[in-house]
This record gives sequence, C-alpha cells and structure tokens, in this order.
Amino acid sequence: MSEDAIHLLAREHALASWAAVAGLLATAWMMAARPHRRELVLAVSASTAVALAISGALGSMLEGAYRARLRQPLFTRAPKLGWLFERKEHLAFGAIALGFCGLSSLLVAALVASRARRAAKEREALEALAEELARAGRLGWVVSALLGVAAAVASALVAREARL
Amino acid sequence: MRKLEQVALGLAGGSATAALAYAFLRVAERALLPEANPAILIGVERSAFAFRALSALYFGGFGAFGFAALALARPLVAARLLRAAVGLAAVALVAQAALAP
Amino acid sequence: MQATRRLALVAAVLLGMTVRVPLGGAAPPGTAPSAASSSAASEGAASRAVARFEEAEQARAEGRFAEAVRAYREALAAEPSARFAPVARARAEDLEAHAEGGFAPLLALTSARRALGSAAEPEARAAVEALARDLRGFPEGRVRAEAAVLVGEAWWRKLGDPRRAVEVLTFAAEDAAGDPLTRQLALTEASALLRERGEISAALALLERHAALSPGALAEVRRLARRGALRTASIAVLASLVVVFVFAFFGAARRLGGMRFAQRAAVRPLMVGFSLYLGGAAAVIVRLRGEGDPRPFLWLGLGVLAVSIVARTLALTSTRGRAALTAARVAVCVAGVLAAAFLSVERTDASYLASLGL
Repeated sequence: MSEDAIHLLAREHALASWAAVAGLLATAWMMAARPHRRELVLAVSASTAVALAISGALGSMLEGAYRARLRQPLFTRAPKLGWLFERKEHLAFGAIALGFCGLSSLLVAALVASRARRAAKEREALEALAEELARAGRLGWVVSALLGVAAAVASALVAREARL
Repeated sequence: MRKLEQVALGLAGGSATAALAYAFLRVAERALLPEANPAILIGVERSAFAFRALSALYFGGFGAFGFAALALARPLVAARLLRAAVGLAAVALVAQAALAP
Repeated sequence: MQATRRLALVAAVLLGMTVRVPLGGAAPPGTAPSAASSSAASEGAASRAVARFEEAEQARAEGRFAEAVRAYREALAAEPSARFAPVARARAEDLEAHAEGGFAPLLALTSARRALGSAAEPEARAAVEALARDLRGFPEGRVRAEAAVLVGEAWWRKLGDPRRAVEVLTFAAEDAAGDPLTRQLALTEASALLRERGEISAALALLERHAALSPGALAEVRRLARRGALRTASIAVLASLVVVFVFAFFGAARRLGGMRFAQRAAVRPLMVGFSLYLGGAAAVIVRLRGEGDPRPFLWLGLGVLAVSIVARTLALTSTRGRAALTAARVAVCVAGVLAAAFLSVERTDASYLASLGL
C-alpha cells in the first residue's frame, strides 16, 4: 500500500470512528430520553452500526501497516502508548461486537412489539366480533321468544273456537 | 417466536458470545503463547489480532446457534440470558484490556 | 570406553605436536658427529613408519586384519608423532575391538558388506544368506551384532524380506555383547519395521524389553499404541451408534406414523446449519491462515451432524421423564462427538494429535 493510501485510510478511519462514537452516544441518549420512539431509536442504532462496521473495516485494512511500521517504534519510544493502543484494539472489537448485539436486540424488540401491537389489535377486533355475535344471538333469541309467545297465544285463541 | 425474530436474537447472542470469546482468547494467548517484547519485535508477518478476531467470531457463531435454538423453545429465558451475556462480555473485555492487553 | 579412547587420541596428537626431533641447525658443542647420525636415524625411522602404515592400510583393505594391527602398532612405535598416528591408532584399536574369533567373523562381515555394495542381487543375496547362517556361530563380541544389523538392513531395504529382517534385528538388539550404539540402532530399526507393518503392539513389547536403550523410540511407540487404541474405541462407538440409530429410527417411524415423518422430525434445519457452520467456517479460517489442513474440520462437521441425528431420533423414541435414560443418551452422544472428532483428525492430519500426546 502506498504512503498516500495509508494516510487517506487513516484519516477515513478516524472520521468513521468519531462518527460511530457520536452515533453510539446519540443512541444511548435516545434510549434513555425517548424510549417509546422505537422506530427512531432503531434507525439511529442501525446508522451507528454501519459507522462501526466501516470504522472496523478501515481499521483492519490499516492493521498491517501499523504492525509493520508503527508498532515497534511506538513501543520503543513510549511503551505506555503502545500498550494503550493494544487496549484500544481490544475495546474496539468489543464495541463493534456489542454494538451489533444491541442493534440485533433492538430489532427483535421492535419485531416482538409490533407483533404484540398487531396481536392487541387482533384481540380487540376479535372481542368486538364476539360481542357483535353475542348481541346478534341475544336479539335472535329475544325475537324468537317473542314470536313464539305470539304464536302460542294465537294458537290458544283459535283453539277456543275450533279444534280437531 | 417468528423466524426473523429467532434469527435476530441468534445474531444478538452470537455478537455477545464473540465479545466474550475474544476476551478469553486473548487471556489464553497471553498465558500459553507469550509474545516477545514488542519493542524488539520487528515486522511480524502474521496478524495475531486478525486471527484472534476471526476465532472470536467463529465461537460467536456457536453462541448464535445456541441462542436461536433457545429462542424457539424459551424466548424469555433467551432474552434474560442475552442480557447476562452482554454484561459478562463487557466486564470480561474491560478486565482483559486492563490486566492482559 | 569410547570417551577414554578419544581422550587418549587427543593427548597423543598434542604430545606429538610438542615433541620435536632436532633436524639440522647448530649442534651443541662436542656432539657434532652423533647429531648428524641421530638425524639420519630419525629420518630412516620416519620413512619406515610411513611404509609400515601403508602396508597396514593395504593389509586392512585385503582383509588381513591381524597383520594390519601388527603393522599399525609397529608404525606407531617407530614414529609416535607422525601425521598418520591418530588414524593408525584409531584403526588399530577398532580392529582389536573386533578381533574375536581370530578376525574370521570380521572378515565375513567385510566380505558381505563388499558384496552388497558392488555385486548383483543374486550374489548379494547369497552373501547375506551365508552371513546370516554364520553369525549365529560367531563368538561373543561386537562383530556378531554388527553383522546382524547388516543382514537385517539388507533384507529390509535391498532384498525385500522384512519378516526375516525383524527377527535378525531383534537378535542384534538383544545381543548383550554388542556395542550399545549398534544395539540401539538395531532396536530402532526393528521397531520402525514393525510399525511399518502395523504391528504396533509387537514394537511396543520389543522396546519395553530394552527400555534403557532407546527411551525416545519407546515414548513414540507408546503414543502410537495409545492412538491405535483410541481409534479402535472410536470406531466401536460410531458403529454402535449406527446400530442404535437403525432401531431408534424404526421405533420413531412406528410412533409417528411413517418413515417420512420420522425423517422430518429427526433432521432439524438448525442442527444441519450448525454442523455445516462448525466444519465449514473452521475450514475457511484455516485456509485464510494459510497453514494447516481444513479436512479434519469438514469431517468433524459431518460427524457432529450424524451424531445429532442419532440423538434426535433417540429422543423421539424414549419415554420422557426417565432421567437415567436421558443421561445415558447424553453420554452416548458425547462419546459419539468425541469419537467423530478423534477420527476426523486422525484419518486426515494426525500431526494435530501429537500436541495432545496422542
């Protein structure tokens, strides 16, 4: 990889990483302040996950150049900074993995909540249907009773005058 | 649980497992395959980080299948276990980064 | 003994470098006539020593070993500090160490060695057969074991008769009068030959009888014996799982109303996916890393899939709530996975097992 390409990648990696950090903070704020805005939270976390993935991919592309050119001089000049960078790699992997974990979990939560809402609507519709059906049944039975009584009374009245 | 929900929960569990596995792999690497002092090690061919990350993702896949299977049978248990896995992974990663970088 | 001889040789060379017979230059006063005569005498001794050394070499090449020893010793006595002295001393000592039977066994060994190196196969075979017959009658000493090793190597590598090679190499290893290095060589060759023929237990028995001679070879063969035992056990476990599966499948088919239903119930998509992931993803990582054989992982994935189908079929037939049966089923399936894992590595790239002592 040429020098220019490495410098460009390093800049892009830094930009993507800070964008991912901003997205992570925004997601965390939204989940705390606007927990009911599920779709918005999901959209923000999806964007953050994309930024994390881009940052991770660019970091992986730079890892070879770091290992070949920067690691040994860094550890020679400032071992504490060298170990700090090693730690950064571990924490970065964790941030990406748990970021995707968070995104997948929110996705499941959104799907389950949507299903619960649909199920709630379905339950309401079913209950309304049951009520309507019961009302219709009740009406039917009442009308049937009234008609039955009327027929019986008419029959009794006729029977007083003529019978078989 | 629906198919898509099962897959997404599996992915979530797999990601948490991958993070946990990464911490364990690094600790095991430090204990069993000690590296030379980086200040004197010039130009290492292979990337230990890349292999470790790939291996962590591989073990994360085991977790993904496990969580997907559990989600089908006991979704609430799977969700609780996921939260525990995320917490454990966070603690493990921070401890590993602090003590065995 | 070897070390003492080497030390004596080095001391002789150093001594030879420090002792100098004065040749020419200023003679001390009053000694001029005797210095000149002693110089001439020493030159005569040197040329006699060289001549005797050359005669010794000739005699040795022609198999006149007794004469060669005498000539070497005379050359050394005439000129102990000559340039050929270390060689002469070493050859004389070597011949003396192989002098049993008046050098007759050594002559037979040398002739057979020469025939093997230069003659056509029928003559070489005849020479080896003759030596094999005669060596049993050789007196105790180094030559007997060395002759047995030569015969064994010839039968194994040149004449294509490994069975007879094992017998004679074992004889050499067990010859207490032989040189320890020769016996060790015979032992390792015999065990290597037995291993080549798949007779690991015979190789182990032989090495255990002479454990002190070659502890490295013994450890290696013990490892191979362990591996062989595990291989047999793994095959037995998998074979028994096949039998159990056949019975369980028909039981499940009867319970579920047909083979198609049993098949559908036994083969779960998630399990298939996991097994393929287990083998396939690992194989991809190994290939990306560039070293290592991916085949063990592929076979492992297939093995796990097979064991999981057996486990699922058993679960379809067994009565729920019987803890002992469940535990037995789990144990059998764990054993099945371990057997599949072992065989997949052992059959494809056994070097992975070496790090586990197997």
